[in-house]
Amino acid sequence: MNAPLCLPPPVGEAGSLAVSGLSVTLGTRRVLSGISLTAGPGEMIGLIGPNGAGKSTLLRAVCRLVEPEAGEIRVGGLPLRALSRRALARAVAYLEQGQSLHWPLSVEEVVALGRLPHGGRVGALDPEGAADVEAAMARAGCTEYRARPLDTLSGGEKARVMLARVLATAAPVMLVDEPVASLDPYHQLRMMELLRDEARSGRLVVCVLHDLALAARFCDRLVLLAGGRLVASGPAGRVLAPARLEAAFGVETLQGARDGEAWVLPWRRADAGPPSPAETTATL
Amino acid sequence: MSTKAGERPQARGGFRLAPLAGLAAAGLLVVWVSLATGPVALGAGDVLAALLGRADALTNTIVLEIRLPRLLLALAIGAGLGCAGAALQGYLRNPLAEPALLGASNAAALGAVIAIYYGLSAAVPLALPLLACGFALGAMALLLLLTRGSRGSLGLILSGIALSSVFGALISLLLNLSPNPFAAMEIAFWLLGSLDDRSFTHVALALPPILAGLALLLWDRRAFDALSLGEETAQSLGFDLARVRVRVIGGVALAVGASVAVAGSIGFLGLVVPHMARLWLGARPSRLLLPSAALGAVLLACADSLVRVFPSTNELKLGVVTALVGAPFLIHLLHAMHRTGR
Repeated sequence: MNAPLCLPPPVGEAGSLAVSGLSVTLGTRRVLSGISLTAGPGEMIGLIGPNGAGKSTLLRAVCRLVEPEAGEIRVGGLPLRALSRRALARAVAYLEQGQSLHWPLSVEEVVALGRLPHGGRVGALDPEGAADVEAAMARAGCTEYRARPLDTLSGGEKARVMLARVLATAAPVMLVDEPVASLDPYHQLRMMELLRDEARSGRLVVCVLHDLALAARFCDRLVLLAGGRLVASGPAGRVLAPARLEAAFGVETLQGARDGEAWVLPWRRADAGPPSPAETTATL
Repeated sequence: MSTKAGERPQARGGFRLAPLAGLAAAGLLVVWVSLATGPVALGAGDVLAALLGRADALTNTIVLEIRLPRLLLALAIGAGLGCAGAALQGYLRNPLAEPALLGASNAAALGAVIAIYYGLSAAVPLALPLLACGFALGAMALLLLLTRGSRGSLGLILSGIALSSVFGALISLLLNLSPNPFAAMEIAFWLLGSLDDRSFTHVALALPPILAGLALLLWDRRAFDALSLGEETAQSLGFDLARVRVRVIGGVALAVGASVAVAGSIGFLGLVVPHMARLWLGARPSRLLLPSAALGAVLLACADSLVRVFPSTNELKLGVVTALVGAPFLIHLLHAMHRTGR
């Protein structure tokens, strides 16, 4: 990916996130209990865990879309309560799971929505905003179809536009919920490379992932949630220990390494019967 | 919504100037037609002289006291309904939304019908429009109270429809119980919507709330843009949706309440106009608010000129014309949108 234009790098500790003792209850259900974690600028964090583990809720709590029952979240050293919604929107960009669009806006218009937290006049963007929109489209590789309405794009193209929208905010912290869920293998790799590049440029990137192989390869650090609790946090090699994955996900995994990069492949449900002879051969 | 020099051409380039120029020309034309047409046909020279106060007394009276307030009301009400429709469609992300959806229209109509039914409108001047405005504001306050704490738009729409139905049923009840056929006729005719016999008193009454409503609706234009990505993402982009909701509902109550208060129910305009603007200007909600207001103003003034020249013994009612012309037009628009794949 050669990006002709660069987004401004975040300054100082703006891209830091500190969560301490966070508990969230939605309705009558305790979704998160006592989550604590810290992350700094330039890191790429993978949030993994089974369905209902509370991964999305954790991201939503950082965006103040759900109110915590207990605990504190600090972004750039400041508690969430001390930030206005607008200031928080400039500090934290959030891409929700399966982001959809209600009107057939053009690619450029969608990406420009990422500038809304920075205010500006109606319609036209401030010069800096226009430059950030250009840079975001260039980075995500959607400049060539900038004028097309979003509903005429393929799934992979749409996903890149939605990512460009988040990039255009130029926030020091990026939260991305299942960015590769509906993409083909090529676009999955491309998306993960894009996110890793963002982290390398000094941003903090936190992304929810279900693909353990991608999580293992592209993230600096993994955080494993299960049942609303933080089970493990650290380098992929440690968090993805087979016994730990079996306990959290209920699956047995195949693991290995190639050129120094680890890979993980979910293989069989842990509660399934004994393996058939054919499968036994395959594991060899 | 001006086109500035040096601005990059947008997606469907070059669309901006042409429709706006066309709209301005149509606006001037409709102003002239509206002042010149009626039972007494006037030439352009007469109209101009009367506007400057230099025509004979009769022409002065016709233009300044009969036709001018009527034109101003048509423009203001058309703008209010067009903008309220565009704002609600943007806010609710629903192309079916229209100004009457949340119940403000029926509430105002109920207030007016009560004024007619109990003879208040005959006894106290302006009792009808004031009661209608009050009912619209009260109903929207009730709607906010009912939907307090809920965030989604579905709850708001359903509560609005429920309120609207209750007010509609109460109007029917009063029609049902009305002591004599003439009272029932008066109510029924009033409900059809008209700008006949309106004076500058009505303009003074309706214009401030409509302008205040427009201002409230325009306030949140960027929140409507953000909402095209859904409510959670709009919040993550820095918008406080609880406050947006109060402003939008307040704006609709003021603009629609005041419109119904002086002119009765004028349907379809607020639904159709944003679709026309969208076909021209693309779908971005913030870009549709002012053009929808302008388009609504021109179209309602056109419709009001039409009812005046239509040969019939009873005056054709404005609300009837907007629905009769609007509905087939909407079908045509939907067909056109389907064809272009939008």
